[in-house]
Amino acid sequence: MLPVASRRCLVRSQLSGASLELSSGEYAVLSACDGCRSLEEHEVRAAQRLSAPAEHRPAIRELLERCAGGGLLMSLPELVGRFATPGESAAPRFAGIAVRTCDRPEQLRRVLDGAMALQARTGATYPWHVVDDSRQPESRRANQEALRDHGTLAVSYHDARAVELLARDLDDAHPDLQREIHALLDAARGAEVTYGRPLNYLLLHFAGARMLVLDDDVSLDPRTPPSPRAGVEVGSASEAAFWYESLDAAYAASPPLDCDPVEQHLRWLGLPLAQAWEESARDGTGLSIGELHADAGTRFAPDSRIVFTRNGQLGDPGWAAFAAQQLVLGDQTRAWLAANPDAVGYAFESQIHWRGQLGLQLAPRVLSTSMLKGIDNSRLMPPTLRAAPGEDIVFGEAAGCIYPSGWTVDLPFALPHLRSERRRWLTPRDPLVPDPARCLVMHVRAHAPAIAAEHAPERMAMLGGIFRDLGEASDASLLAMLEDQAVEYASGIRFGIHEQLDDATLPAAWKRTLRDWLASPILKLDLESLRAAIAAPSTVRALAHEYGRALLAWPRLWSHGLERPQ
Amino acid sequence: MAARVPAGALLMNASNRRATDHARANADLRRGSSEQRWFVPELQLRPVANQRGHVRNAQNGAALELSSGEYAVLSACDGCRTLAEHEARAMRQLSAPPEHRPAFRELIERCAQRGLLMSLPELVSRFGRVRDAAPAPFAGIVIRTADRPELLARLLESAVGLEARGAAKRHWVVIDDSRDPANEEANGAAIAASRALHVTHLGRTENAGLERTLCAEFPGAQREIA
Repeated sequence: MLPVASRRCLVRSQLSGASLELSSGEYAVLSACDGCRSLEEHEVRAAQRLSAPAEHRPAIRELLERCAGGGLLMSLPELVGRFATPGESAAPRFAGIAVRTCDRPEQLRRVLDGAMALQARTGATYPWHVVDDSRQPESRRANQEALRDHGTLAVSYHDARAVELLARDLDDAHPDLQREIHALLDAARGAEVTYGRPLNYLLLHFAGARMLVLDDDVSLDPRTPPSPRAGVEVGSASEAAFWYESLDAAYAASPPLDCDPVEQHLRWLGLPLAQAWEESARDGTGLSIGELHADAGTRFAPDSRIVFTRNGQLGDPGWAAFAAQQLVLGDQTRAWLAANPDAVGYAFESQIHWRGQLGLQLAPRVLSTSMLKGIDNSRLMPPTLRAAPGEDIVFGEAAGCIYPSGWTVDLPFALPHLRSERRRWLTPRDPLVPDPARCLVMHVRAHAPAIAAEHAPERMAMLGGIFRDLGEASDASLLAMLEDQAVEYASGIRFGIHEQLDDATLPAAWKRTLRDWLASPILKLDLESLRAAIAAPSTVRALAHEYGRALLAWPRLWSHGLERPQ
Repeated sequence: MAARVPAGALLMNASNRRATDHARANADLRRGSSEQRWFVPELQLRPVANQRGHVRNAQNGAALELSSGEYAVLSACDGCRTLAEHEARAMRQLSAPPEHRPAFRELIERCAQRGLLMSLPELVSRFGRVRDAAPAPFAGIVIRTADRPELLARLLESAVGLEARGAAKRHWVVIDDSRDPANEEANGAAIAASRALHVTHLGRTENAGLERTLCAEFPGAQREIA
């Protein structure tokens, strides 16, 4: 919107280049529209939002028709027409299912049992890869023994030597990048947690191929959503969450699903959107349009494709310390909680959650967090942080920057995610544990719009530059930025809590829980509390420097992986 | 290499700085000078509840929770003005009735007191300290010219006049980007005619020489140098 006179403005769609001159009143009506709806629905919504009297309805309708006629609103066929025409090209190569494991041989054995059962049930023989990041020799021995015991599976074993071999190979080919290579692939030092190391290895080892990555504490036993939704929805609705008193109760609400989870991922992973759209429309119950925000428009592009596939999870929801998502519930969860007020009692006691989409969702965004995720590594993917918690979020965020027209498919089934030990979540009285990786993610979100390059390697270079720039920030500006991020984080949760407190349908007991959290130091916005919640600037600086350098070096390393025999 | 400052010390410094800033703002307010000017910096608003927002001054870290109505008043203030001027401006911009004036004044004073508005002395104190060190050496006055010898001659003539009127003698550097050798020659003549000035004439030959030297020194950057 560009003002051109008092109470007159030029409104322009960046997506189509169409523009119209509108009065400020007309612009207010247009701003009250959002999403992808029929003109009648837009009209009703705008009239409702502006509390417009009935006699204004014809004028609102006329304006919306004029905006649609002038190209400010885009029809669905026009949006979909922006995808490239579906071609006949074959799906990129599938490298297999990689299982990351670290000193949990009994969990790996359980995954391999599940893989055998899956193979017996479906007859499909997939290539499996175990990436063993164990520190203890006895764990490695036990893992190898487990592999031997599952001889009918096609499993390859990648241990520390395989990672070292790749690192040495890269060192020889790119001696000027040794620092970056080791920052991405080195084994754990001291108490480091190296969840990112196996992923970096896999991305390099299987450069040019699609792959599924599975955590070793997942069971390959697909379960239906507690209230499944048929058909395919296009939108970015947040996932539904339901929690249960026990695993038995959760299993009762979420019965087994007779499907091959691998096949479900592969059906979509790497697919051009034109083809995915066509296939969804052919689906028996068809394709429906859900929440589509204005920024989804740019995802309708000729090179749009499915970058990640994810599925839901049943059991441990994956939060290490602060269960922030539990404080900001989506619409589906609120409706469930209103209907099941007894569940309030174990909202933070139970660590048995069902989290995921209730139906298949084609989402115009790039999200990689899942215990089983499909990664289309047939085209350049970014690396992740080798040894910092939150590496999966950083990876997804960086991939989203590099592929601004990328999509994610959320599959409507959950896999059990079963930990042997209960996690210790923070209570309202605990202080927040600072998370330096979150600072990088928030920084990327704020600066990604500045990246203009068309192709992935150049976009990655710019992203690397953004992190290098962050690493060169003065102490004062870094501190100010961290404080600002802390305000954004805490205020977002506070807003979500207040919204629920205003929701008459939610149980009173839930509101008492939320009020406890409002008083928590974690969500306070005074300077002292904010400062207690931020990571040390030196830690953030070091991480930003290291990741920036890694991103700048990565396209050369990934190309090397592409040419290296796998 | 700069010494690393521990995070704790950084936080302490930031905290001290803010405490000083706030103390200064309060002192400015208490001093009650109606002439005191208050700057409205860029403010960040983050909703925390229905019709409530957390408003933060990113420059000094000061923050206040305001209602949406209060934020509308604060947003109607801008520039560096006295509190009375901010109040009058906000009233005008929002077409507020006179009976709202005391509430406007109370809010604006609260924002000033809490650091959302910054007094002029607080702003000025953010500059580094005045130093006694001598200023950096002055290389001279550079004149860029290309194929307009009559304009260069006129400029040099005025420079001669300026120095003749008692202005300090300066070093004048003419960067001559003329494509026509005749113009370069005419520029040389204009320089020669300005005998009273200290002029260095750098023509195409000198520029080419510099380019050759740089290319020899940095062979990897030949494209950028060219």
